[in-house]
Amino acid sequence: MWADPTDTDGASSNLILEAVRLASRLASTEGQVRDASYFALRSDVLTCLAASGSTETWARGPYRTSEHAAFDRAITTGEIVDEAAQVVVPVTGEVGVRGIIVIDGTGRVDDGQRTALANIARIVSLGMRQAATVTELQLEAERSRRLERLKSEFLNIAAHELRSPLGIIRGYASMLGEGMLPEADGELALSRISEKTDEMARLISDMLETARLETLGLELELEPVDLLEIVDNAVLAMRPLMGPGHQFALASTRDDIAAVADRRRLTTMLTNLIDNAIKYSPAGGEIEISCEHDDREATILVRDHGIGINAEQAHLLFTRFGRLVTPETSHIRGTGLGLYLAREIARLHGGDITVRSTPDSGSTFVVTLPLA
Amino acid sequence: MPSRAIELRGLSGTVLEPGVHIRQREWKTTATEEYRADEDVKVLLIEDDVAAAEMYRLRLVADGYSVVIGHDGREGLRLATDEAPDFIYLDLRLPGLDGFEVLERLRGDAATRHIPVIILTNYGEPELRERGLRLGALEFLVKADTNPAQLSESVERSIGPRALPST
Repeated sequence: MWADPTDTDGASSNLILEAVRLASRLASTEGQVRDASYFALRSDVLTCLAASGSTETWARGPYRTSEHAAFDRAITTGEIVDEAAQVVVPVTGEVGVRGIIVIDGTGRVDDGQRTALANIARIVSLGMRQAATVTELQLEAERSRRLERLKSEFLNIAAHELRSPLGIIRGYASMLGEGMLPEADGELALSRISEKTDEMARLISDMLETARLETLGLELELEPVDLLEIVDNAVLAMRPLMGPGHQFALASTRDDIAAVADRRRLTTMLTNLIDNAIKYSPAGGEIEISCEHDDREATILVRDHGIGINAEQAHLLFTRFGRLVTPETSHIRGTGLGLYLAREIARLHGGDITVRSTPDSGSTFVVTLPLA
Repeated sequence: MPSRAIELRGLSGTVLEPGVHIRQREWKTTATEEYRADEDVKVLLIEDDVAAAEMYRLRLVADGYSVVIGHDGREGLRLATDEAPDFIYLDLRLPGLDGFEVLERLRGDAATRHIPVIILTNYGEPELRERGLRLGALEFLVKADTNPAQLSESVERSIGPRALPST
């Protein structure tokens, strides 16, 4: 990657300005001072970096003047073009000409000047390459700092996510221990403890699976399965998490959908999608789950009527540690790992998960899995 | 044993009279419903986590308090005015208005200013604790470290003991 000199305030634009001044002095004689400028080339746009430091941008073609024809020739051939009105010195990079040094004023340059100008262009080229490397290293360092920050934020979030079910388990355990609960409430306490233990187990399992995915990669345990049965089991497992206003609506073919897949991982994938649908439809509503298939692939839809997401943010949904926090969702619990892991599992099976969503009317997650 | 209405409000402290005891250990075999008969101390729980609200309600009712639940910040504020609770437990992470905003509004309203508030949250960060206490919360409790029995103890510490329920 090359740093764009016009985008850089640092080494490369200073270097270019120095080179432009040097080229101007080199081509000038006592009787004639020649102006020089640098034009950065990015796709079909030329940006002029004048010796004064000011910039100006315009599209490269179509060319109407001989001046522009000289620019174009230097850019196309990579050779110095020396015409009556100007000298155009191309600066080449790894992937062709990156820009041109243009020296105005009449009179041709001699061979010595020509060689010196070519050397200046080479130095600029090397300087740009170095600046690009430095920029790349800085970006890399910034990326790794960002990842570190995300990881510690994630640890913080995950700890709080574990605290929430833990508080319920502890609370009921202490009440049961004191023997204070009437029998009917005792049963409720036990079922809450069991639900919250499951919630913690799912969270911990998601964390371990993500860690494993990153270090070793997940090795699928493939076996012949019926996808409908896996969907049924996932729905059953998530039923206790439904709010009072939620209903599940299941639609599928009557027949088994036979596939070779990792039963446990696919269950994780589906429970994560259903968990997401429940969490992000706090006002309740139908959660529709449908399965269909043809000879080649199975499609599983998980659709909610919840708060939805903006199209611009949808791509962030599946990133690791990429939980979308907006004023509407900041109170909703979650680590953000669930959808990331779900899509990785689908992809490991040769399938994928995509999302369609409209703010305020819900989201549909579409899982495709190859059957062949 | 006769019931006794407690007239304490706000932070006036604990008053114990001869013959009136805090009856914390005696509910063991009694159904919770019976304790609702004497509902002179009302606790408002502002809590969006249904499972947590249910658990705390169970315990507070068992300890003889009347309990109302606000499931988000706005509902909590409305109940604080309409129900005139004697005591408020306030979660921080809430839909709409978060707990700090709720606390600020409670403190800014003459009708609710005097009601003691304890923050009950999953977050234990010192800066949040400090902010909560600065805004006027009596205590800052972390849910995972708080036994439900402590809730009644906090209420008692702050507004005086519960009267014995009528039997």
